[in-house]
Amino acid sequence: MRTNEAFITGVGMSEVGTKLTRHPLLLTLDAIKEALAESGLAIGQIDGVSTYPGRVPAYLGFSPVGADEVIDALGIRATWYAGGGEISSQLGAVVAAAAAVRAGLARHVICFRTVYEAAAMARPDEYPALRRDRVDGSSQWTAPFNAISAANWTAQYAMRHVKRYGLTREQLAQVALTDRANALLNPRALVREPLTLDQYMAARMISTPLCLYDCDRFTDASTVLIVSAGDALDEVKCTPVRIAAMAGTVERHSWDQPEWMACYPTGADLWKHTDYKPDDVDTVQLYDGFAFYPICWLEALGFCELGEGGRFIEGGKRIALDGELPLNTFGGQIAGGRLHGFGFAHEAVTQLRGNAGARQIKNDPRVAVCTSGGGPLATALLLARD
Amino acid sequence: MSRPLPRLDNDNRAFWTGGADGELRLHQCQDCQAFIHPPRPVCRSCLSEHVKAVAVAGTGVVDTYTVNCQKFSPTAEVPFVIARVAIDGAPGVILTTNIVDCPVDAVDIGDRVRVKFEQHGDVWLPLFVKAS
Repeated sequence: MRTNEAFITGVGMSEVGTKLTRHPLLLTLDAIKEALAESGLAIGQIDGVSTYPGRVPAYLGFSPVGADEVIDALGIRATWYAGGGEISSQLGAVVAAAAAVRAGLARHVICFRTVYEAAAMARPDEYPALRRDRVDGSSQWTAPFNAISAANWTAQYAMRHVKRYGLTREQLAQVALTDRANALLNPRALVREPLTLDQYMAARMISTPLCLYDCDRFTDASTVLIVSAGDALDEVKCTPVRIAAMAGTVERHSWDQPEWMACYPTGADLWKHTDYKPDDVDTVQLYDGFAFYPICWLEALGFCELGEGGRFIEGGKRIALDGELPLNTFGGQIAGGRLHGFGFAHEAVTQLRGNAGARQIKNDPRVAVCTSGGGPLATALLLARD
Repeated sequence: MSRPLPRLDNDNRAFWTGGADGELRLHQCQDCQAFIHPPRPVCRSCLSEHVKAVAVAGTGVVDTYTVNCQKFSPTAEVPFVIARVAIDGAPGVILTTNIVDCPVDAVDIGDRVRVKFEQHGDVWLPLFVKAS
């Protein structure tokens, strides 16, 4: 075993739903308990906590629980911790934890992402969004033009793929169709209804070329990954999954100044940190807050050329559960629930351990890529069961 | 159409108020001539602090766009066009904006556009129309 590397040991997830009434700290605790049980670790062995984006008081539904609260509420004595939004998207919290355990700053780090947007929207008195008279920061460059939603910002990149590379709606549909089909086999998935191509093609547009089924939806849930040091694996009872490479390149955190999305430099960088090649990958769990992102990630990671992502997934066979490169086997965010980045790492680990039940990929998968973000911010992890 | 408006400060005031004089103003480095957007008091190309807002032609090209159909804002009538416009004479600067005064299906990548300011109190929003 490589003692100077970082591993994901326990993974856990709370109930996944909408308008949940269970306290978001307790959802976080549910996911932590599941991860601890899987890893065989006790809370007293946890000495680090890492989260994205920390508690966000102005918009509690987006992130109601921070690292401070988890450390205090669970009696953790942390020798290292971090939580914040200025990091290379959601799984940047896992990158930070991996760096910390490799540096010897902690041995077992709880990484978590708790979302409560559906509940907060249903109970605004309890979880108020801060109202401002004026916008500032990066919002000032988009909100005055009523470009308010990430759907709008993402759709503009997608439109360029339509016009420049000939991306079709039938090709784009394969992401949502694959997600929905996989979610039928995942008891915890948020949306467990089949979707047909005809239904997809008839859907109303949200922001062209993205339609209703291309978008994830507000979800309440907590997802936990425990990152452990290579020299602490003798304390762990589950099969560790090695973080074989990580990347999170950001050139400009902006939706309009960069020519391309951050997934492109990030995907290219991932392979600089490993001897593995795209051909070695058994499954990809690619961020799909919008269905367009996996198409870009497949290009960015070198599974196909720039502009070829639509044709790569055409017909859907290649990315199906029994295809050569199964995609988002838990349903992705579109059908699995908007777990906000952490769901992709959770599923990659679950598949590599053979714990995915009815949706388990055949042929003993050993290498997976998982990603978060993709637009102005992006993180990619290469996970391996050695 | 009611819109969320920017809070003015010393960095962004030239951009958001240039429309009072009919000018689209962007920050430019006076040493290396690079444009700096969003506006900041330092050049991101050469780190010079010798930067100031200058007027550009106010024309550009649609880099990409989307037709927003969803009522994300209760006060905005849908559908409308959101676009990224690459600004003539300011290499690398792209503004998110709206293309107005034309049918929503009349906009395409590569269209030439020119600025049309819309005043909201102390703010002049640079919207764009198709250049005929």
